Amino acid sequence: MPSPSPSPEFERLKETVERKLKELREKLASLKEALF
Amino acid sequence: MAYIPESARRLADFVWNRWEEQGVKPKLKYVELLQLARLYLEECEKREIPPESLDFAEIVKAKETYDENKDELLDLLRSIKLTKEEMEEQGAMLALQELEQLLDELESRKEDVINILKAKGYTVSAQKEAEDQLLKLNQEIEKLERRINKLLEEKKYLLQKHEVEKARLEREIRELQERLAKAPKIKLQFLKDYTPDPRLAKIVHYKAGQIIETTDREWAYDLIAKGIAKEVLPEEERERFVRSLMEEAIKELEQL
Repeated sequence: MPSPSPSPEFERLKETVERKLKELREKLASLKEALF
Repeated sequence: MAYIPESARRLADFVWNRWEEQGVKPKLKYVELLQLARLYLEECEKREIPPESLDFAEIVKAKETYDENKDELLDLLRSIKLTKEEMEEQGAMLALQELEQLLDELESRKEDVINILKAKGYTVSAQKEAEDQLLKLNQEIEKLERRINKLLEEKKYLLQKHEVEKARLEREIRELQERLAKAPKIKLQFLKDYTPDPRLAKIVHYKAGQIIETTDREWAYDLIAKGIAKEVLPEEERERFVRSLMEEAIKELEQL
């Protein structure tokens, strides 16, 4: 039976993945700026 | 100006004299050519390239500015041999590019998971599958984070070196600005009409005989070296003053 929206577990995982990706993007950008 | 070794002076003189013989009007000043010659010798030494294996006179172009010549000179020497530091930087850049690419892929996979779940409708099995994929993605992100941290650790000394170099350059600029503010002015008298930049002829133009004061010693000595101007020494000023007084006195006598 389909639910109208994603489960809380899915939302929680999605937020974690997005936050970590954002952090890594910022880390890489600062490393790049410092080195080059 | 930093110390210029005799070998750089000889190299610069050789090229400058050649341009004069050919009637070439260079875009760069003599002092700039001197800096390029110094840079050339220093960079050759750093890269262990015998300077005589290349022709500096052919590398440096009279029709190009100092900055253009400098960029081309460094590009050429880099293409022959990288310094240890440049190799390190190149390695770090490649590693960074690879990590960025991996990050892009993970971001795109995350988007796919969200879109596929949406397309399938939020069924129990689709939610379960999407959650599993996100968990897997999370593990890969952690793996990527470990690689980024490792790179950060490996390049820590390079980062510190850049910081030290940046601080040194900032200090040098500050000191130069302070020295320039305190620098004694040089008085110059133009020996001929002179237009530094033909495009600005109506704005900046010096007449023969005109006297100016400047703190830009490099520019002043360049003009003196080229015979465009001469330095007005204090004795000359006194002489001129005495001569003008005498001339006035003679005129007054003549009118009597």
